[in-house]
Amino acid sequence: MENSLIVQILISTLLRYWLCNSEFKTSLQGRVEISTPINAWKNLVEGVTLLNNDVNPYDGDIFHESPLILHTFNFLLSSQNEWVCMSIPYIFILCDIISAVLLYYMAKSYMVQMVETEKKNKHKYAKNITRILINIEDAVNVPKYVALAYLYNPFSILNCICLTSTVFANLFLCLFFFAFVTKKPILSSIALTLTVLHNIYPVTLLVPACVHFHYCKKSWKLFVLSFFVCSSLLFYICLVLMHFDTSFIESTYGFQLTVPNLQPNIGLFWYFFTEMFEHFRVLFIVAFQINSICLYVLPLTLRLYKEPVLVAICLAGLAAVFKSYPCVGDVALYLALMPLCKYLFPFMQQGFIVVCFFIGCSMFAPTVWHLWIYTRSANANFYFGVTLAFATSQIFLLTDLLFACLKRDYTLENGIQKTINGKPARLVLD
Amino acid sequence: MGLLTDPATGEGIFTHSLLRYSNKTSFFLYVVAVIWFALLAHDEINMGTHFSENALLPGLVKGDYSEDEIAKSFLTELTNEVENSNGQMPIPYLMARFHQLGLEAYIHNFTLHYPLGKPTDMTGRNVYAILRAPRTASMESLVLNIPYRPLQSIYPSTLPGLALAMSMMKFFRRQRYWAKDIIILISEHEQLGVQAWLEAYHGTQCGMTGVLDSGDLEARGGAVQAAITLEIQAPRIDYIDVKVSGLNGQLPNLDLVNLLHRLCGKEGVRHTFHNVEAKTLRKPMDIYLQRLTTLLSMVTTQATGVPNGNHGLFHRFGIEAVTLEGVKSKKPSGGARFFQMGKVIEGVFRSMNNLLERFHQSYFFYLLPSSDRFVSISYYMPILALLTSTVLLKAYSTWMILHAKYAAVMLNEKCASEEKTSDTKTADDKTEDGDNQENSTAEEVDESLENLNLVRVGVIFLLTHGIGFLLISYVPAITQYLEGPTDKALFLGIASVSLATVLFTIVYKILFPVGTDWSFYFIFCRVELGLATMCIGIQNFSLGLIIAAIYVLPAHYVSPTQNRWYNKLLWLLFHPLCILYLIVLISTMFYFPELGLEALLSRSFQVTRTTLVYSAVDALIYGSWVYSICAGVVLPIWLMFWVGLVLC
Repeated sequence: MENSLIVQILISTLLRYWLCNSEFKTSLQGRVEISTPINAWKNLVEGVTLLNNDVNPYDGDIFHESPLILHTFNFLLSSQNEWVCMSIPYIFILCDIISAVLLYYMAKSYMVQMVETEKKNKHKYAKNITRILINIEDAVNVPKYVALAYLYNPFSILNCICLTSTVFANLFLCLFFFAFVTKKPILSSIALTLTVLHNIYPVTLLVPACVHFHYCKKSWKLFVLSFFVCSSLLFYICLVLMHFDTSFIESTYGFQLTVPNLQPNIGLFWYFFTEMFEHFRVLFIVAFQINSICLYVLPLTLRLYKEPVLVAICLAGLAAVFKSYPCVGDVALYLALMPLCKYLFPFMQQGFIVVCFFIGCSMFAPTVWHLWIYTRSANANFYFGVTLAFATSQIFLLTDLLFACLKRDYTLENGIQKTINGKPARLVLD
Repeated sequence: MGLLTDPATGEGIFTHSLLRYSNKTSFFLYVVAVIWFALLAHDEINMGTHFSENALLPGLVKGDYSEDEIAKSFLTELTNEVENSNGQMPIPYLMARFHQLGLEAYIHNFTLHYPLGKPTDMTGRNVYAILRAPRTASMESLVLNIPYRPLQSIYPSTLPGLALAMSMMKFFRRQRYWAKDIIILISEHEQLGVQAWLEAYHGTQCGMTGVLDSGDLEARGGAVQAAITLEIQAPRIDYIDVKVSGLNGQLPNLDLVNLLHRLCGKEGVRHTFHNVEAKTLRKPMDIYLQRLTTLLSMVTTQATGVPNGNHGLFHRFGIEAVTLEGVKSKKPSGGARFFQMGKVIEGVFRSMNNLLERFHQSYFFYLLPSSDRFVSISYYMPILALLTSTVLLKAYSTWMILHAKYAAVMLNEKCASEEKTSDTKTADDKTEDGDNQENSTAEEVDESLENLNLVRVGVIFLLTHGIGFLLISYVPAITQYLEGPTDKALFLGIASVSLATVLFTIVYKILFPVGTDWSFYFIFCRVELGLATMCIGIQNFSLGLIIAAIYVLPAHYVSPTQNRWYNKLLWLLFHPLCILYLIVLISTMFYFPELGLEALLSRSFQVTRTTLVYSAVDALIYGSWVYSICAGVVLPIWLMFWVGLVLC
């Protein structure tokens, strides 16, 4: 790793350390954009307390984490050693830093692979498109950009200092991406299992991973098999931890899938289901969950089977947009993966609009929340408007990325043609 | 989804014309916004007010109030008591009277630790009495607030209002229909008392910790639904002025405002908004001008973010409130007496008593060009959108140019060199040409990447906003550290920080070389200006409008390439302190036209300093946002533009 990156890691650690001990922390922890009913630190502490008082934390409507996290934090929070208790915020910071480092190595390996693939396929490409091929400079810089995008993204900083459990989910997802890109089927299956234990949506990543391992001449069967073995094992551990009481399934996956808690967040579920008549609820829950889990997997994989990493990034992004309880931590992760697609940037069109919407929504959301909740002059529609705009801009970003990929492929094959028979040419997507 | 899928986005006629006529488009948008604002006062655009909440049933019952003689005797007693107690609030008398009326009466003590300058304390006492609702448990309540003003106060006396309110309570006590508690609150020290009482009632702290010690209350009623502040100056008044502007520009629900105007009309009391009565003038032009001036005066009042009556402090707690100011009659006869005023207040309280839900039906975001006309948010918000779109479009067009350059370097130029190299028959000098071009394109790539210098933007953003943050959080420290009166100290502090940053930028420019292309930096500045103003405008439309009206055009014409020394000098004039001084100067000229030039300038300077102190104190005590917005948003954005202008 380069020295400059180590310096950046130190600076961002100090930044997180300072914010973690500042007065902003408590007010930020209450923000619905950061803490959802699933990942909030408050709920985690509540669950541990319930467990210590011999109450099943999954009986109530407070705790929705996996038993693994419950027992880890039971160990940390109930520890008699005060050093352990004091170190809890620093564990979160450490996890964030490890995620960034994993992303760095993942990006490094990815860039090397991309350069190699392009070298290998050069004979297939049109003439004189060297400029849009990945150059050596990018191969060095992009990994740094990826790490920095995670270290300095305000969303990931907020996520980390508010001690949400999304920090761990992101760590496991980063581990998955690392193992996935560096072609390690077993490690990636373990990482994916740990991620899926926290929330169900990344299960879609199985498909691009299989495709990827198939193309890398690694055994995708081994990957799938080890995924099922690992998940069964972890599930068994959870059962043992909960003394074979299965109520945690209902309270974790059931909670994510049936969306009983309609506290506002940056997603699209809460508003829709507050407005919904009760007897249509099941129908629309199913429709929404199909949209967020399995609608995009096959089309994207079929169309972009040569770029499984890109498909995985898009699926991670789509999950962050459409999942039932999204938070800014999820957004931070796939935003950090964006610099990987730097070679697509010349083909993207909506950059300005997307950036404006991201900045604007980050400013508007607290404002209209204040107007709605505190001064009561605005109402839920204002806040929903902002979250809708945020979701739309994320969709714009992901769609733009996919189209950029298609356009680049076309250009690689056909060369940069601006004219056909002397007339200016125009690309049309049909 | 043509917008998303069309690969030719950014090459169409729209973008081309935008790039070509960017300056003209922006100016045009600005002019459209100004015209639109002027049109808001026209009756075709604004709408007549109407009731949205049916439960209010205004004026449905015949009023029974007839205690006006008792009000008069209360007034005589009160005047005597006040004179006997050297102008202080006659608390024993009030307590005795309330107990006699059969109300629970309590005293509320509070202390203000003045945050600026040398530490000084000020204490105050509020008196409040609760009439418990006979029909329900104390779930909800209504507040009748009367600010107590000592004799030496510069404001007109409110004792007649207090006498009226006491007679109202005597009358209310005997009625059986109350479903909500009625709390009468006599507050001291103008808005401070109400703020302390509200904080104690809700158990919160709005300003800086440790500034206003609001103490505790002995008893509470239910959740406060609505509040009326009475400032009746005399037993016989000319008209009632209904005041709506609250803290940070928040407004009460339009239904409550309508209710007051409607009931005043019903009882034959003249009623005004910003001292203008809605009477029918002959000429349509006169009507229009009258509405426009009322609208402008509302916008300026709202933009200050300072409440124009005690009611303004209730809003943030979700309590709908207005102030009724009964202006003393100058004519020997006519006007409204206690009897009519009492009928109005009885009607208002009975209507509010009817409410089943809190006020939510009608508008919270509106502008009033007259007491019976209003402009809804959907008509006035486009003005702000138009104003901010001038800078956003400029940013967009600059972005398009940058992106086109970047894409062209990556795609097109290569195409050109390809043609050249593929043309194998060309002579050697031509291939050399192609080589040169290759080198130049490589440089261009570097240059276009230097454009997107995120680190530079981030560092300057953090530094400028950090300065703003320091100016907000170290106001008490500045005034305590610098000797002398607080107004001089605070002004000196802010001015020296501003001067230091301005000079530092110039020194930095002289000492260190900096990159040349600042287009991306300016894109970011413009986007931040546009979005921040929109954001401020959602909370306080008038403030957002004024900031946008002042800043968008200069921010649009600031250019990273052709800036001369006079551009920089001109931008210095747009420093928030200069703008404040200019605004004060203009309003002083307006209110005191007789002053000479020198007196005018020095007086405006004095007023500017006191304005600064007042806004800072308001931020610390009441949690007002105007100072924070100016120091934490406007000043940093100005500074970012300045840094860009000097360094590029």
